[in-house]
Amino acid sequence: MENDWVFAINVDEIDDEDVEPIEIEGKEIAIYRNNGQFYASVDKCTHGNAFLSDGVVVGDVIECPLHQGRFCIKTGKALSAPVSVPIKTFEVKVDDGKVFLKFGQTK
Amino acid sequence: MTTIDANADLLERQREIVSRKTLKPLTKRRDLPGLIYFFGLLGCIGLTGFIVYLAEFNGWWIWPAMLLHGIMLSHLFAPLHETSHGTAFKTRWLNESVLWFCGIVTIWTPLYFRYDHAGHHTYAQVPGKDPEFVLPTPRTVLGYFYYVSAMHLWVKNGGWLFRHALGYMTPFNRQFVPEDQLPKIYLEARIMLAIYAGLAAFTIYTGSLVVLTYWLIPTIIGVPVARMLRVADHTGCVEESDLRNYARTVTTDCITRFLCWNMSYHCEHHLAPSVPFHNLKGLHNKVGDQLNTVDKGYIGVQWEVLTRHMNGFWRKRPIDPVAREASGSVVQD
Ligand code: FES
Repeated sequence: MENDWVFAINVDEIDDEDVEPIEIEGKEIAIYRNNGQFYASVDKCTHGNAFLSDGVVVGDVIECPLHQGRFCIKTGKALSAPVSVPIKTFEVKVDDGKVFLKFGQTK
Repeated sequence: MTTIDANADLLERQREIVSRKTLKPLTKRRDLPGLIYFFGLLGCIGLTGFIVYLAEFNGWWIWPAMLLHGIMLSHLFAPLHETSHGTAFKTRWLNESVLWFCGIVTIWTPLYFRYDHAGHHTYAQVPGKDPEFVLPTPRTVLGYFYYVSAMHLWVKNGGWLFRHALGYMTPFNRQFVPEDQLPKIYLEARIMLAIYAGLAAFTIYTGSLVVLTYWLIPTIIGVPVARMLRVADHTGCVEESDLRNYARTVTTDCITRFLCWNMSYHCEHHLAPSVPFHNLKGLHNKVGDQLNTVDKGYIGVQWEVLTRHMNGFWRKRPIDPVAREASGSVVQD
């Protein structure tokens, strides 16, 4: 499984500028879509453990639902208070209407 | 309960009240409503400032004019609060610019407020943990006036400004801020103090009363109205983390809703802080019947707080558990 491409979600299951939660091997992952591009990160906010998949995607940013801390969905960088620790992101590819992510390998 | 557990608990209970599917469309961000509300409020401030200017030539009329102007100025707390959540505008620089502008005018350190307010959302109404607990039980009438007069506010905000500028934060406040972010908080306090020192130097050097007449005195005398709105948000509600009942949604007129940026829907705001102010009414329409909504207006709520939720005039009476239960308040023993 390590470093293999793992099926995550069908392309048409996520609207543009939105996020969906998935689970792979018991691990909670958030899959984002913005401008037709897909991104993935761990689903837990580094500030207070809220599910980022309950948050709001604004462009390249995911905003946490609880205290509105913001992360870049491309890099995982923490962008504004109260978050300061980045989130782990995963490499993603799209093939034949399906989104895959390289599980076990973070960017 | 750790912060992590408290947050998880909050989100779990949020889901019991409103589904993810219902919430999603309400969380969408826009610039236009924020621009209308912000420039609308600035227009009101400009108008009351003009009334102050006219009153300058009419003796004692200057005082009611400054009071009215101050009431408008104090409502800049509403965009400060909304921008601290980052929900006022879709465009980020707009959000941060308005946050800073409002912070400087209302004398709230904006970045620290963001951390402090996150703590409030995690621990709202939890005794000893909520950093913004307004008049916890046991409360007195004197305590109410101390809070509403805003003396409490100036002591608190002045404390933040000077302590942070000196590079110190109290251990209680520190729990909300990651260690590596402290320098930013200290820097913002220094920048704000430098701005205020500049205004003071301008006033002393030129002998002009502009800063005092159009900003400082009105702010001091006008802010109690905004404080009364804050009292209505939580005071007298249950003192435990109960999303349905630890805040109050107050039905009120459209002018008040405009001035407070819909924070009268306070239960809805705490239920889902990622819903921008302009969609709180929509959220209220969907789930308001499950939340603590009172239809007596803000004056009625002040009366209720003063007549039902006090534990003495100036000295705190021991609390009768039966009366406590009847009033809906829970005390930290
Ligand atoms: S839990 Fe995400 S910002 Fe606080």
